[in-house]
Amino acid sequence: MTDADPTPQQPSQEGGGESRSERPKRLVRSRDRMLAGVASGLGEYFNVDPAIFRIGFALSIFVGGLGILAYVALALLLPERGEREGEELPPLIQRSRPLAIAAGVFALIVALSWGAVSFDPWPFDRGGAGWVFGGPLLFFALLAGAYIVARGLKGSAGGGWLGLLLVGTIAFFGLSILAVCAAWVAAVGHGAAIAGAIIAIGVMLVVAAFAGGGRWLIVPALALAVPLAFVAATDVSFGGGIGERVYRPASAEVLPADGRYELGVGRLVVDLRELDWEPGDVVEVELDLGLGEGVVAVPETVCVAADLRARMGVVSAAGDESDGFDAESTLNLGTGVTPRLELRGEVDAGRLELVNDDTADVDEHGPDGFRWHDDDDELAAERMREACDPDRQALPQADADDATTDGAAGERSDSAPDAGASGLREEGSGR
Amino acid sequence: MSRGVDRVSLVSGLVLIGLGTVLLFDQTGAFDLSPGLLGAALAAAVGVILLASGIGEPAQSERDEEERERDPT
Repeated sequence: MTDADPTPQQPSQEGGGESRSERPKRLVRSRDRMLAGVASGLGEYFNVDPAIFRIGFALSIFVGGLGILAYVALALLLPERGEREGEELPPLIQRSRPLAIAAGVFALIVALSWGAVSFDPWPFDRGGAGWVFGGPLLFFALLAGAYIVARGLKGSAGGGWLGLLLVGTIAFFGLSILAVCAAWVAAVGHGAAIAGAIIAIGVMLVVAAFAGGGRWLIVPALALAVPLAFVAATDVSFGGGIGERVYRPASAEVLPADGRYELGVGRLVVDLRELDWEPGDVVEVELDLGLGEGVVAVPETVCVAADLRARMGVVSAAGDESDGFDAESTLNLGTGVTPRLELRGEVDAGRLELVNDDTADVDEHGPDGFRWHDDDDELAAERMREACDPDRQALPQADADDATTDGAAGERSDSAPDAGASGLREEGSGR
Repeated sequence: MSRGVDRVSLVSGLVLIGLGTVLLFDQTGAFDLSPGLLGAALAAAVGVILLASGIGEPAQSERDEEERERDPT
């Protein structure tokens, strides 16, 4: 990787007769440093003791670490005072090699953070164990990697920024296509072939290390590895199709025999609010979604026993929401209360939601959609508690009728994936 | 290590072989890595490659670029 021009840059006002005090005051990293010279530079600029800034940066570790981010940003962006009077060296971000080292260290910090989170036991809560600035660090590392690659491309393109734009655009689209193809191949079950290709590129790089050349292979190899790791982590499968599926069964006869609804990628809606719910009914539904959004809607008067999981994403069941890796949301109220929906759902990457609202429009988000305010989570939880109250066994028919009127027009699909058999059973009949 | 070996390519190649092997085992079902560990493996691979790039010798195109920056004429 290239160090940018280490040649000292002379200040713009370089009149030989000008004294230093006449030049505009500039914020630079100082050579009188403990780490990168940021605190010393700030101290010199503001004419205060740099220890104040050092203490401030140190204390910021305990308030989310944002000060550390600020320190790193200043260390990268500020020019450095040179050895000679009035001399300034370009900021680190213009020098590829220090930038690569910093980005590499940051990526390793993120790796340690994520790796540690994934191992039990871990002294912090699993959901919040990652360092607050882990995400920004990774973002910076990737940005720095892209910048370093761009500098390499600029060199290959002859040094001109127009050439860089052209080569960069072609490279971006080429790598994007490669990444999408890799994700597709992995999602249809041939991820081992992509992994084999990565190993093969690795072997080629090792050979190239002795024969010369071949560094450019690193970039396409990572373009294969990132989507494959994503697919592997989320277990995304394109089985079940791609697109939008909306099911609004009006009777138990059109429910799939096994109660299973499946979609590979897209939006899957199972709106059970038009179903003829009777006391004693227990409906079993299972949702299997690869990548996207899944919604199950039930009348407010139906009790739901739910087990929703997301390998990566968000799950929400009547106000009980969870997100992140291996997110899980369960409802287990009013055992034996009917009518009842027994719902199991899993999404590899995306969102899965149970809506128990007779008026919510599940066809869209926003103010008229099924989620709009946090307060609605509490209302949803309250409705579910009432529906699962053992003292309430009868379903008011008026409520059920109301439920069937909402959103009934314009359905895109009313048939079940495997319609013709009933997924409904009477309580006590066995599963 | 001999003078003629490109350490960046060597380290990157070894890292990619390791990462590919981990992904291959995951895909063939030999073991099932969690999303966090896979993300960590990927970030570690990127980190080591970036570090190697920063520490290793510059490529020929980068040396040319450096030369151009030193002497634009």
